[in-house]
Amino acid sequence: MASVFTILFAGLSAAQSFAAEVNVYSGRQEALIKPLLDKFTAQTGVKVNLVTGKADALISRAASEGEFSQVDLLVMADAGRLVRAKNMRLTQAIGLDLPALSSSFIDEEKHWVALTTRARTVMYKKGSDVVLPESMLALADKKYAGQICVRSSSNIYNQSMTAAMMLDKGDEVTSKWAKGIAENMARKPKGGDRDQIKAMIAGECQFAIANTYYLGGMLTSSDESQREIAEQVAIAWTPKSEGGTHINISGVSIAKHAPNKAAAEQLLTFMLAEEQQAWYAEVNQEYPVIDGVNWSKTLERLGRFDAQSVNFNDMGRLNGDALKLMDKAGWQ
Amino acid sequence: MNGFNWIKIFAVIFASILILPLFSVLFSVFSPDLDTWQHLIDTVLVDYITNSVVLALGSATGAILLGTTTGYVMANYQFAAKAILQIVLLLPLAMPAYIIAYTYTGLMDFGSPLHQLIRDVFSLPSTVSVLPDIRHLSGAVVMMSLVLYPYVYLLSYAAFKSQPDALQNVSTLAGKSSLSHIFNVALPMARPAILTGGALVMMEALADYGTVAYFGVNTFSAGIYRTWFGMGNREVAAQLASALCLFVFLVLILEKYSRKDARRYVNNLANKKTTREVTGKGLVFIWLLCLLPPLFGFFIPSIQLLYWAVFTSEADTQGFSNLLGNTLYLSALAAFIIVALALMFSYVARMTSANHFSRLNQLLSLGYALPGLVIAVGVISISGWADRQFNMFTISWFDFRPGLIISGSITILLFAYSVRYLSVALQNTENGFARISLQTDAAALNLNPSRWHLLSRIHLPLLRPSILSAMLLVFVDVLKELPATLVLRPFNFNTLAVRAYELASDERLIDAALPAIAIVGVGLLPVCLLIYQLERRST
Amino acid sequence: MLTIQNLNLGYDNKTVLRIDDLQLNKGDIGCVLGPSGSGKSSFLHVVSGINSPMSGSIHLNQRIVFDAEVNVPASDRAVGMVFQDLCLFPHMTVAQNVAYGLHSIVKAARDSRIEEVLSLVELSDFASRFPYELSGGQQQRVAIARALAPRPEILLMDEPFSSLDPSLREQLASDLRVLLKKLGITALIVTHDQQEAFAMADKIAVFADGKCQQWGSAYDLYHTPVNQDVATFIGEGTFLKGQVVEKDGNLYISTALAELNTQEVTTANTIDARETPKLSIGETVSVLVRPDDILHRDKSAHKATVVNRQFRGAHIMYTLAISNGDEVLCLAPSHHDHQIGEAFGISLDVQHLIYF
Repeated sequence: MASVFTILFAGLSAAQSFAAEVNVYSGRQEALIKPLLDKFTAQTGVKVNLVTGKADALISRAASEGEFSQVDLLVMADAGRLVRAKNMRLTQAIGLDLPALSSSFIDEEKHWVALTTRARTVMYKKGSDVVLPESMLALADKKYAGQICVRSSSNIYNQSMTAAMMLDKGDEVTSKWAKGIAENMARKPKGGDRDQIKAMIAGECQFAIANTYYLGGMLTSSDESQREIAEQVAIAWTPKSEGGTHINISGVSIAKHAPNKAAAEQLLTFMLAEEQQAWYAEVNQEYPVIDGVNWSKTLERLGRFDAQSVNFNDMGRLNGDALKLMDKAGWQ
Repeated sequence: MNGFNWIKIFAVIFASILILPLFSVLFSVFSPDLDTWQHLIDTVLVDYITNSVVLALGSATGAILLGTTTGYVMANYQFAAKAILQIVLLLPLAMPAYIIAYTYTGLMDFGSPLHQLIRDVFSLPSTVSVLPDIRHLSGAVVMMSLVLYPYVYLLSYAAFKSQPDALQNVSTLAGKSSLSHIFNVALPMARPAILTGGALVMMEALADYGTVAYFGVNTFSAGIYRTWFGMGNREVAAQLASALCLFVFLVLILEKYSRKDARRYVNNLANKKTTREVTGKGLVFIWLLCLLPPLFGFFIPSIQLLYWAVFTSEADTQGFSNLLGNTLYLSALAAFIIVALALMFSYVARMTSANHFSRLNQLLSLGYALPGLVIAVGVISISGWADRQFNMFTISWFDFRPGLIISGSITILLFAYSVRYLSVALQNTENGFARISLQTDAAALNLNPSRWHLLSRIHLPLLRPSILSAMLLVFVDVLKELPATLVLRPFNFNTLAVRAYELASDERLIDAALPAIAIVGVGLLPVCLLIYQLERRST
Repeated sequence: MLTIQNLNLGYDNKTVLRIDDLQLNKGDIGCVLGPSGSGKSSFLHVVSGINSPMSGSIHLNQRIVFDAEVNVPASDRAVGMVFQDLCLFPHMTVAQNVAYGLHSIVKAARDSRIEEVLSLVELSDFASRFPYELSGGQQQRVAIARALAPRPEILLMDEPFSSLDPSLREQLASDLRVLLKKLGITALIVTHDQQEAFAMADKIAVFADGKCQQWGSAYDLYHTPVNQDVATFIGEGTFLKGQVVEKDGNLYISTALAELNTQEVTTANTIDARETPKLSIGETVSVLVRPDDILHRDKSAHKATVVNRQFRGAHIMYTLAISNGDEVLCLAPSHHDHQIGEAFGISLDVQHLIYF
């Protein structure tokens, strides 16, 4: 009887699992993960099946597939989604000895582990005679009225940054800060991070808030006009004394009902290996989570910085509250 | 039980399945999260609503302006190389709104060659921005109008074409100017067709996410994503989607209401339509007038995309044929299945005198206005539930665990497309059936009582043009579809739209150019076929 | 009122229709009769000014509206027109339709004029209805009201009854005549149905073979057609071959049924402008035989066989084969009931001798 069913549904159903396979749902887009997976397959002979997409939609998909889901590994582009997947009980504790990572990069219950970090900073034009803010917080000061370019509050990076600030400085300070930023905006939020950088160089504003890897991407772009713009950009890091520069992580979890758990663990270990860590830095200008891994030339050029210390679980949990806070502050 | 009753039963079953995802979204209203709603009402809801209303009305107005003008000119004048314009005017159908939005942003970008050129010409310093920024609400309205006007053009062209010369003669004898005739007679008589086109445009604009997200316009559908992704609140997102449904329902009711006295607009006039020959200055004017919409809606963005794809992009072309194959396979399969479903539904609606089935068809059309992602989530929860139930059944009875059967398969993707695009196909098949007189049926049934025979020997041949245009429109829509494909696709399955979106969303516009221009290229073939079909039908 | 001279209609310098001379008096109703494609509608369009002829002249009410120098635009010719499919604006009410041509007068005058014309066509209660809510006959009256509202000097109607139920046409045609006569309106009406034309017209033009063949009263057309085409087109009838012979100094036409004295019976020919063709002895001519010219005479030596019969109530129309094989029509009182194949005696009694 069973075989009849197997034959009947083989044609219709999704890829069946075989021993040497691992299935990945990735909130990171294909270009930023596929090369690694191909390399993994080449080295180990384990086939990797991939679906990329909106992180929350993939989480919903895994949730509705439940115990029959074929997914083994969840790759998420930010802490909020890692926490969301964990809270929806879609993940399991990683039963591996993980390499030496800063404790904040691993979930207390080992339900997720970070792969890379990204920094979000204030940028300005080299050689301009602006008064540099001493921190991200200081950018809300009235003296920066009409000088800031930043994207919409719909964006996860802004939500994470605000959530992290809520943890660090409390709701009241953060709320005031968000209002200040909204009032200081040179224009209505639009476009992505690169657009903010371009607008800043174009003179629409004096400061842009953007992730460093976008600047790195522009510096290494094949488009000359992008490189030209990026060359004119300088970064104002928030020093340790002011709480450090905001960082977010991308990370990975093993699915609760992973049918190929062993292979998933193998892939996870592979991704955290030094060589792969360096690849992220090289290809997408993200910072490795493992100490001692070489940064790319571009990252070195942007400079070393002090990262904020933040509990990513808490930050992820506060994501929705952070958005509501920005809504109230009038940050569109 | 005869064959016709079977097909009725099938129709009911399929309709219930197709309606499930919609209901799973609508049912969310029974578990309201009052706190979050209060927050939304206090902060952003008014924005969502006003932006959506402005976007929908603005896009409809823009599309009506472009579509009606070109439709009138093409229906009433004869001029040199008109056949070329006939094709060219429909080309923007192949251009997805989000891609035109990315392209114009890149084209008018601060650092773009065009921008640099203008600065060089006027010898301005390289820090000056001269081109307007299009990333705001009015920019979104322009983008939408540019790619959606063909819907209005197609419908208004047909309407104007059916107005005989004699109507114009009545006006001439009454001493009315041409302009007065257009505004007092031609336009009012074409009003139902124009408004139907406008309603389609409004639905498209309301469902759009790609363009508004990129332009930072907080519309209702942007709000749905924001609430879900940002706040992690799927229920409220679904409730917002239900509210959007309500809004669309309103649009549909208004559109129906505007056709309340549809008979007022039916003219039983013998269609003697001659087109006026235009030469000289008039010819140049007409050409410019009709060339402008496709120029901005198709040629300029296509050339920019081609330029990027050929000269600047370093996107890998590896696996590109695979990508192309997947896209074609999926679009063709979806077109076939959806049109088959639409045929079944409209056939049943025709064969039953009661109104239930035509109302059902209206309900099924609602999916068209929902953002693809909302449908995807509705579909995911249905398929997950079905798979779990099936597994539990097989495990308890046969100790067999088949795993996921429909979740993560092509089937589920086709299911989602059916929910979303059935409306497009239904419109064509229902129109097609409406053109076949019921007396034809009576005559055929009198000669051969088999309803299958009637369908296969009489209806299908007569419906051929409608079926073809339904298939082509669905094909082009699926080709461009993004959010549902992104979430529902099987492992290792990519399409052109997915690839273009991923690159563009990572702000790598230039690398996205190759898949984007490929979408446009693949879309051109069915659009040209559609034009050919339309021409044949009109002669 | 309306004078047409040497009018040539056509395109690309090819004449499609030629009208040498056509005059319609004030208050008269003229009908244009002809097979489809004979240029009837084009002629109306030319009179109205919608299209222009190639050459010739048109006078309307002593005013030149078209000749070699002048071409008055349609809107300034003061013609009203009722189109073939009526062409009511479906999205306007009856009153709005009627008001459409009344744009140049003040509102109060306009409203009273609408009321006036609607009461003329007996549609006062329907002013706020939409065309689709009216019957075919009512719609037609709206179309007439719309055309009459601006007080045109002449009313042109293109196949005014073609979209109506045939059983209604005859009644409507005579109603229309009564209405037009009551208002004293000059009208030119195009039709392909001679019964309609007979019911309405004071004068009828027959268009065929690219020209206006004849312009005259219904009586003239029936009894003194100018040529074989008109004779065939108007009314029913057949032609009998006959030979011209001389007897007692008179010319006779000798046919299979009778010898017809051209002197005695050609009186009819003289009432019209028709020139009687010169006859020469021995010549063969065709004589027009109307169904009422063949009388049912049991005693007659000429027996004819019934080929076909058509019951028409008071009369039966027989198609009969005579001795030489020719066929003639005979309209006999219906108490003379003969079946197909039967033979009965007939005689030829021609009141108006028409030969070609």
